Amino acid sequence: MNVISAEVVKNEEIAPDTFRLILRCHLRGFIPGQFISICCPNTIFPRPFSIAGSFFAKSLGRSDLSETTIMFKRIGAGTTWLSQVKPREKIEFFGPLGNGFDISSSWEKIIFVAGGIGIASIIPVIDHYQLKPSVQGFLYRGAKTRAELLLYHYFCSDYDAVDSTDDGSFGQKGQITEYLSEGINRIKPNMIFACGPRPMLAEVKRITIEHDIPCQICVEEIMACGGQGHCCGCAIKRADGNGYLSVCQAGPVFDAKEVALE
Amino acid sequence: MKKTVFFGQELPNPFAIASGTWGYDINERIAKEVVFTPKSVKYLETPGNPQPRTSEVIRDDILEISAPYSIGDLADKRGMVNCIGLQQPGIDAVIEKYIQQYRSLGAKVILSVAGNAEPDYVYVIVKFGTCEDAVIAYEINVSCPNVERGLVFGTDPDMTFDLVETLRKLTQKPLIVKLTPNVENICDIVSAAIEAGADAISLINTILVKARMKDGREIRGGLSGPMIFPIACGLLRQVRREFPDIPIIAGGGVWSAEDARLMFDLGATLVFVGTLNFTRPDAIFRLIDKYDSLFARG
Repeated sequence: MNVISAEVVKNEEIAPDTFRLILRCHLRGFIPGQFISICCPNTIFPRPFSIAGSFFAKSLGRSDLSETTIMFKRIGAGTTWLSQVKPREKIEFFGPLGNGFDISSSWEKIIFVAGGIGIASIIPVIDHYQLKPSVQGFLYRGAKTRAELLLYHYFCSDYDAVDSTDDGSFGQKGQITEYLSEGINRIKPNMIFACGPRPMLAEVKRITIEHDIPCQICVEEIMACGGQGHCCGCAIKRADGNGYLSVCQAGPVFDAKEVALE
Repeated sequence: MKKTVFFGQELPNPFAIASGTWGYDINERIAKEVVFTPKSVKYLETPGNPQPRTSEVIRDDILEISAPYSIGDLADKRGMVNCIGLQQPGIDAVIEKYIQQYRSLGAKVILSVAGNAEPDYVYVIVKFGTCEDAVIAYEINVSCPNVERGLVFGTDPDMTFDLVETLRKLTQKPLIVKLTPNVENICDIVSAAIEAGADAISLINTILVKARMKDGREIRGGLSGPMIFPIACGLLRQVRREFPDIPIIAGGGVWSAEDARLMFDLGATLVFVGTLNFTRPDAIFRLIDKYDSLFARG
């Protein structure tokens, strides 16, 4: 596994404490749901981030237009450092890592469920399916605040969407999962893709099992080795009670039925 | 880099990857350039602990810490605490999946063995008998809790002696005893290990801590990383002074070429790199390159 050094194209605060970082590089063969781990000079653990997009301007033959995007919340030492990197600085990372979403089938109707910054891993799945006219997509999008939610609106606005905020300042009031059952009854989707906080994913799992709809979830866990597969730190309980799966190797995308989320 | 001879094996350089910091799967570069210690393996598969398993810690964020050493005034304040609980697949799976890889890559491997009771260690070594050509030595990890007697093997000289003496009869391969620093007098354990037939000592394993963080979290587990480097150096010096001839594989928070140099100066035969491997995939090779350019030329 190689460490890649890439120039920062843009690093902008798109909502309070929420950033979008664009790097000048293309991750060949990247699958939505995969992540990269950034080597932060002030931390021991590399910090993993879902890849929110990666493209190569092939038709123009312009490798200088190649870009990879991540989104992150400023929370601890790593993301505080990352929030301060400037365009033209270089940062080091490794990836793409992990198993992404299974996007091999063109399901007729898909519901995408994104909670907060979890939208980052859902954006490239939506990008993929928006190129397929036979697929009807529906987006269920939740965030804490209006500012955060409006931002997500900007990034994927083409699908029919149901929005919710915790305080009701935009869209519906409450958790986005409160509206999912009704949506499933109405839309009758063939597949659900979800990413967000653990309690949201647990609720999505419960609802999709109840409705017998297949569901792929992208989970987050602390990784001491940034997903190299060395540390066994990012364990998630198997739903069958038979030990653990490693999020960085077996995931971060799982069949919702495979893992215990409570 | 000056070639090193270790138990009759010519090594490209005197560095090793510490057990538990690189899993089992290796690449060509590791096989060629360093000694590799896979994660400790037991008789049967063990699932490991529930979350949280790992925490990165900065000294300034710790409100209170209880540990067998003073962690208060160290130069480098970074560290990690792990409570993984030895998630490992069991010896049969390791033999099936990885031994052929080690053989075909010509890797220099030290098989690290763990157990909760003496028969566990015995089983692993007996089971591994036909694969011994694939390894240069065994590391006996005595930091595991002994379920029968409720102690950690490596904290009791008699238990260490009994274990090493038993294993000594089972194999011709060198036995390296990996010491836990969580003891009152580490030299008592070293003495017991050598008397029972150990060929080398490896120090140190993680330091058991219980910490209360400023953000309210309670963290328990094994502390590693730069924070423990001075403690590892102190223990190395102490052991080397009493046992001038025993080969020692030393490590514990080694973060730079200068750190490695200090450990060699204090009497390390090989230096192992552990937690640093988590920071980036090429960390150990960058350290070796730097060491080479600073200290090993000419």
